[in-house]
Amino acid sequence: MPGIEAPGELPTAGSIDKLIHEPARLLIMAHLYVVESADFLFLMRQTGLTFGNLSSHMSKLEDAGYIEVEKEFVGKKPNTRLSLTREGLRAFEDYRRSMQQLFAEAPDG
Amino acid sequence: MDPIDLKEIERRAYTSYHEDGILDIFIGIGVLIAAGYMMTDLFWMAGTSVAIFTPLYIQVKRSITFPRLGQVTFSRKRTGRSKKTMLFILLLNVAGLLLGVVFFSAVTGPSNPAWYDLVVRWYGVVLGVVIAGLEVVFAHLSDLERFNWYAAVTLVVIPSVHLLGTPLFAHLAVLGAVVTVAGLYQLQRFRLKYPLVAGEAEVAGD
Repeated sequence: MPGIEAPGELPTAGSIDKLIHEPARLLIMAHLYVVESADFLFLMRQTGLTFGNLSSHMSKLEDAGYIEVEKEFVGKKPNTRLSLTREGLRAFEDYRRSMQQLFAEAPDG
Repeated sequence: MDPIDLKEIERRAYTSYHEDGILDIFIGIGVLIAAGYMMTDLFWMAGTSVAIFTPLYIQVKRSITFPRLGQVTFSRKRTGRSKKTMLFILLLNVAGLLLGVVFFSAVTGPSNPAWYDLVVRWYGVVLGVVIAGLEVVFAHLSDLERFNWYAAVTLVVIPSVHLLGTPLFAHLAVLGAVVTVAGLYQLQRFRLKYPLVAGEAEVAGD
C-alpha cells in the first residue's frame, strides 16, 4: 500500500502514491485537504490550472475514490463542489508522511 | 519537513477572499459616517449604520467576490478563528459600553478623578492608541496584515489633533478617507487579478 513504511525506512518508488504525486493533482489534493469543500472556480483560481486540466485531473481523483464531486445549480448556473473522501484524506496523509520521511531521512548531498 | 506548505496554502486561500478590499471600503465609509455623526451630534444613529451595513456587505461580497473567486467552506479551525474575530468585535462593543458607563460615573461624580482629567486632556493620544491597538489585534486574528499599516496611519492622524488644534471629526474623516481609498485601490487590483469568469457551462464550451 502506498505510503506505509516502517520508521527509519525510506519510501520506495512503488510506495509513493503516483496518483497524488503528479504536481497538478498534488495541488488539488492539498487545497481540498485544508478546506472542507470548494467549488470548481475556487480550485481553478487557487491552483492556476485551466478548466480542461482541472477537469481531467478531477476525473482521475474521483475515479480513484479520493474526491467527492457534487453538481448543483446556483441560481441558473451549474456549480461543481469538491471535497476529499475519507479514503482521499487517508491517502493524502499517507503520502504526506512518506514525503516527510523521505526529506527527513535522506542524507545531505 | 513538509514538502508542501499546507499552512501557507490555507492562509492564502483565506486571505484571497479579503484581497477585494471590500472590508476596507466598508470600514472606511463607517469611519467617515462616524465623523459625520460627530460633526452633527447624531452619534446615536451609529447603530442604524451597523444594521444596514452588515447585509449590504454580504450582498456586495456575493456580487463581486464569489463570481470571481468561487466558493469555499473553510475548515473548522479557520471558522473557529473567524469566530474569535467576531467575538473580539463583540467584546469590543461591550468594552466600549462599559467605558461609557465609567466615564459617565466619573463626570457625574462629586469631583473628577485624576485619570479622567488626563484622558480628557490627551483624548487624541488615548483614542489613537486604542484604535491602533484594536487594528493590530484584528490584523493578527484575521491574517490581514494591511491592518497593521492602518494602525500606523491611525497613530499619526488621530493624536495629531493636539498638534494641529483641529476638531477630532476632521481627523476621523481623514482616517476614513485613507482606508476607503486604500480599499478602492485593492478592489481595482482584485478585479484585474480575478476577471469575471463565465459559468462552468460556458467555460467548458457547452
